[in-house]
Amino acid sequence: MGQTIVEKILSARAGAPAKAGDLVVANIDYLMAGDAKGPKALDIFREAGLPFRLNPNKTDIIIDHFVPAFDLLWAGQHVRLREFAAEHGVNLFDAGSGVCHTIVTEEGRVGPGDLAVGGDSHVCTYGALNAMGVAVESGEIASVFATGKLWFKVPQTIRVQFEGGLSEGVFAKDMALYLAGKIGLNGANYRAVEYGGQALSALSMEGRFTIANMAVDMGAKTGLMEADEKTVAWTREAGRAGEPVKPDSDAKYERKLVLDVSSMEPAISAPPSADNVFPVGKCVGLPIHQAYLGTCTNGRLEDIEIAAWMLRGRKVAKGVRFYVAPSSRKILNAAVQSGAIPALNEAGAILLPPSCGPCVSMTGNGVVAGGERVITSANRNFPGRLGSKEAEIYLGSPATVAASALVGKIADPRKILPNTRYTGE
Amino acid sequence: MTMRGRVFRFGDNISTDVHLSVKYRPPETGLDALMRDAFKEIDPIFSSSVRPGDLVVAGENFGLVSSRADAAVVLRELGVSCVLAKSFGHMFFRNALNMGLLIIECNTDSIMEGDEVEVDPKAGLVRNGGEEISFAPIPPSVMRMLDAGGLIPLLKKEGSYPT
Repeated sequence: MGQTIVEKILSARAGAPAKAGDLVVANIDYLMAGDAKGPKALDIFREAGLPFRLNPNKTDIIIDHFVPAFDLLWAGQHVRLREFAAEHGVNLFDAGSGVCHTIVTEEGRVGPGDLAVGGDSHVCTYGALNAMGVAVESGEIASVFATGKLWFKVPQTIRVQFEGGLSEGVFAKDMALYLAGKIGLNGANYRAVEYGGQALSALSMEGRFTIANMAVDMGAKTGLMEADEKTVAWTREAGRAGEPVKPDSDAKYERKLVLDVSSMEPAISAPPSADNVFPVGKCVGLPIHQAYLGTCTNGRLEDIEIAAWMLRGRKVAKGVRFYVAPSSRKILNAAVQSGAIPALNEAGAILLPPSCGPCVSMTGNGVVAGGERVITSANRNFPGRLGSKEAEIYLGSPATVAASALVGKIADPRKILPNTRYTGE
Repeated sequence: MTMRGRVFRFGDNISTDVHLSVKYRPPETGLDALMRDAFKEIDPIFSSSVRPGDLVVAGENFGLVSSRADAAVVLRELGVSCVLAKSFGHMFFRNALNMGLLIIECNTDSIMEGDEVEVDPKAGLVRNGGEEISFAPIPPSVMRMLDAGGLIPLLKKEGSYPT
């Protein structure tokens, strides 16, 4: 019987053939410990008196959620994380380095065929590099520090083929949102999602990270893509070539889905959850108070350049706070060099440090009041995620966010082309 | 090790919100209160009538939604020996084994409230009256984790995963 990508990765790391439904103990190639779940992992690790046996080169501690630290609790937690990293010779990416998943993928910390776990929901982003990324809890992080291993139930796989070609003004984020709408918030519960098809191949690596990122927002344990020449070029540049893993032609899938992207329009996800997805036209005209471009979903160079391209020589609407957080320092530097950041600054955007920023209220960044409406390039919009439960959060592509910031209302990016006069919806 | 007990039967999509009935409780709510009110919304007498060794049986997606490990701890502390369901929410599945609660995926269609069932995790067999339902046997490494009381207790005791 043929194997899917996750079955192959888990077989290789467990040292025995594994198929969907099996329970295996597997060697971990990489562990990401961030400032959200890291401190509790340290507590559990210390209380249990466990020894640190993980190869320190296989893990990083990344400070990205609580940046800058907004109270004494988090300032103290950051001190503990820095001390722990120093004590065990673990590399630390401190405040301002960027969002964990962008750093991990940019710095070559994971590559094709790797099995990675981490203390954040969106570890599945690494799937764009043909790696299996799984979100874990604090106790599991502590256990990986002690053993370099973790147990897994091998998931069933759903195969998704993106066919056709995208129209102008429609992006990877729109594909991710439509898919979430189709599969549903828990529709891929405990499954792996394997993505393929010509519309996926046509995307940049940045676009692929966006799609892999949202696997968990359909309930999936992980999401993966095959490696092609773009993946190989990326991983060579990042410094981790890995060993690409392909599914067998007779691999067993729980189900297969084919989506033709040719007919897709810019998508919008309305409250209360990411799977509540419509063509943007349904929401055009709703006034907004805050717009946010950034996060592990859409804070990469391509995303910032699209926004700058749309806003160059124009002004953010009065009454709108438009926050921009490049998702790593490398991206910030590149976007300064390219002129994108100066253009956004000129337009009235508010630049935030490379970090998670106003994606979730726990970060203490950019919370909103009751009655306010937000459009964001992030991946989640549960009521209360950004402060008040009476605030509304809409999700869209960077182009849709930039168009909306310009107009002051949710807007269709196809109507806001550069160097044209905006004439209303 | 074989478990034997009475069945408390629930349906599909029992989220940890229903299960714990505590979504809007203050975070300092103690385990005793959580245990007292487990499944209160769908079975008000569950926590007063469950006895050590009894089983919880459900349909699809048991323990959907949240990452709260308490959802597993409450059942373990009430003495539930095992949860059988057709499928589980993935965070609940991980939390349950990590917290030392045995959970098994199998076809539960024919198991009813009040049935007396026997579960043999190593053989991969549920016996309900004359009927036998099979499931993928729990591997020895995972059984050792359950016997130790969960993932961290196992590592404290043995230092690593048993080979």
